[in-house]
Amino acid sequence: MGRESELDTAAADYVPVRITNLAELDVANLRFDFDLTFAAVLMHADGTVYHRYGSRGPDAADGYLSLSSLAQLLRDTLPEHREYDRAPKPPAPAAAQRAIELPWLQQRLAAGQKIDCVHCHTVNDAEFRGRGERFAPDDDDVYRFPDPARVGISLDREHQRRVTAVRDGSPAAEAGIVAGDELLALGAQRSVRTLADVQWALHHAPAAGGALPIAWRRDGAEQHSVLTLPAGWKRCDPADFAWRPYKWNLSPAPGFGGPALTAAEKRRLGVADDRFAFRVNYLVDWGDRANRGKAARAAGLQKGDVVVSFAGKDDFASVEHFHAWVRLTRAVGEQVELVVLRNGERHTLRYALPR
Amino acid sequence: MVIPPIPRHLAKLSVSLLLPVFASAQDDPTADSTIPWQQDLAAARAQAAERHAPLFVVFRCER
Repeated sequence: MGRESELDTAAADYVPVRITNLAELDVANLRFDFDLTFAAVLMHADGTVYHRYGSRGPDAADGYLSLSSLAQLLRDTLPEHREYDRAPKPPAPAAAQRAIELPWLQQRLAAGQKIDCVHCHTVNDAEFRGRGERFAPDDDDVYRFPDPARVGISLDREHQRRVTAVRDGSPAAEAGIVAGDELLALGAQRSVRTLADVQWALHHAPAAGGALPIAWRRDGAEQHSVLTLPAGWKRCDPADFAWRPYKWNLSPAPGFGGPALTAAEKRRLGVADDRFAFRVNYLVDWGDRANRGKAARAAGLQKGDVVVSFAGKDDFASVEHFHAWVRLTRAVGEQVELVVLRNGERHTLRYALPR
Repeated sequence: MVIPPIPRHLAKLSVSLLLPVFASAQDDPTADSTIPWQQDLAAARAQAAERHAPLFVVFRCER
């Protein structure tokens, strides 16, 4: 059997739908990690979701995507569907919300903007922006769809319910889970088969902490326990968060950005190879977030400046990491110092981080 | 609240900021399949209910 036909065969008993524009999707009742560029949902016609699929790992966008694991999920979910379909218990629906009708998108349309396509990540943008500029997100808002590493679990990329490693001292270790166990259920997710299922369950567990029921299979026997989650368990290294598009909605913001220097540019400017630097090619001076750029401009920052240090830090892995780090570790109004190179001279600028 | 139109340089900026995210999402496991995809979720749900079949819904950003 060819690899292409494996998925075709596995999907034969399903009604297949491919959506590339979320405009008409009821995002109140069908939700997944909207930051993804590929996601799959296996569900009943009544809205009951069996499984979600499509998570990306922090190291690679496609780390947990494969034709074989998706085909296996389709095969494994069929018996679940047949059992559920004998006595369906539809979820109580929330008030429907078409994505295109989210207030922030409606405001953009009313302002004359053309929206050809509502991308998945746009839903996050609309939901953040729709809560107003003064909205102060908490950890549940910020750290969405936590990676299972936050509770000490690493999962196999193909057989995604299989635990490959457990971090010593973690909630998973304290619950008695060991490498080789197969997760069966976690919190609100009654049947776990994928990394995305685990993330869905963790997403709905409060960041404030508490006990999260977990079940797994070892040597054919089902075991149960709870993950005891400490307050703040959802937080993570900004480097693991940097890829998420919704980070642009968080505050504080530096108010400027630009491309990282190449190795050749660093050598020419006398920046060490292992230090991070980037050239400012924009200051935010548009729309209702123009305040972000104004603060840096008032401090003396100019387009073309090369930032070699920000708040004493010069080891960012990327520009994305820099932006995530500012938003996750700094506070609005906090005074920061940045060092820039301009015409061969170093300048130290100070400003208060804007919202 | 009145939101002004997005200036051209912001549109360019948005693309440049998001490009690494989308460019790095290389794999779509369904890309080489011959699955007869539907595009209307509501119609597909009605069909699934009639056939007692599950739905396989794929969301793919094609920007």
